[in-house]
Amino acid sequence: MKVIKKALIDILAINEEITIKNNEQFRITMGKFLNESESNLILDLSHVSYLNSSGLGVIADGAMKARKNGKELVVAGITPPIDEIFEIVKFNTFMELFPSLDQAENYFEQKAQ
Amino acid sequence: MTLAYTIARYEELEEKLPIIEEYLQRNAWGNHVKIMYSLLEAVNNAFEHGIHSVKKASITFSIRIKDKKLYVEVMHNGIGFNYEQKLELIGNPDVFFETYQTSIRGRGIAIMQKLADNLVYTEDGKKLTLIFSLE
Repeated sequence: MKVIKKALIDILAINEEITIKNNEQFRITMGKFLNESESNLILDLSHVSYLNSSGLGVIADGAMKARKNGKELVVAGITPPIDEIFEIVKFNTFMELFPSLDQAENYFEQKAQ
Repeated sequence: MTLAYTIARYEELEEKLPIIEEYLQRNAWGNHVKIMYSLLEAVNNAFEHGIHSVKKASITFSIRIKDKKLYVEVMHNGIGFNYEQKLELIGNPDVFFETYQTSIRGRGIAIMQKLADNLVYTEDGKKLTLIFSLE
């Protein structure tokens, strides 16, 4: 799990599957990311092929907390096989989801113009 | 062919995953992703809620195919739960996901309900059977 800071955007890149083994680490890392980052946040799941329901809960909670603090959290890397799960839990109804990191970055860049 | 394992640590599940993946790709192509996700979620729940505070507890799970249906069974010898109450709370999973949009917990069973054709709890919630149609 790695944070990348850019001019307008902060990115939390996840490079492992989210399982019972690292749920808690993911929750803590996400909390820190939300607190310490600026207003445009991307969670990059491009290299994640599985995340459990606890991981989904951390993302939903993170989106809500970001909004309460005047920030926006979006998720990038929503491609098979995890796209079906995101569709089932209807995360697209309360946060932006993108297939690629580039598309997520473009979203914030266009908002800033 | 039936796959059946008994495990006590998550690492033991991880060791079995390549065999399970191969089995599902061979026997349930097209459904293998949702079956694998459901199995992982079911075992995850058994670890998190069933056996987490129980000494010498274990989880037994199996995958078998009969009459064009694939059965995933996950059973543990830990603590059960009031599954009727939980299923009643979920009701329609689609409505549940909308109602509890930003909830931090509680999605696992509803996701499995969406992925499987049938979900059945028995043994006071210690045994879960997921049924997938392969047609």
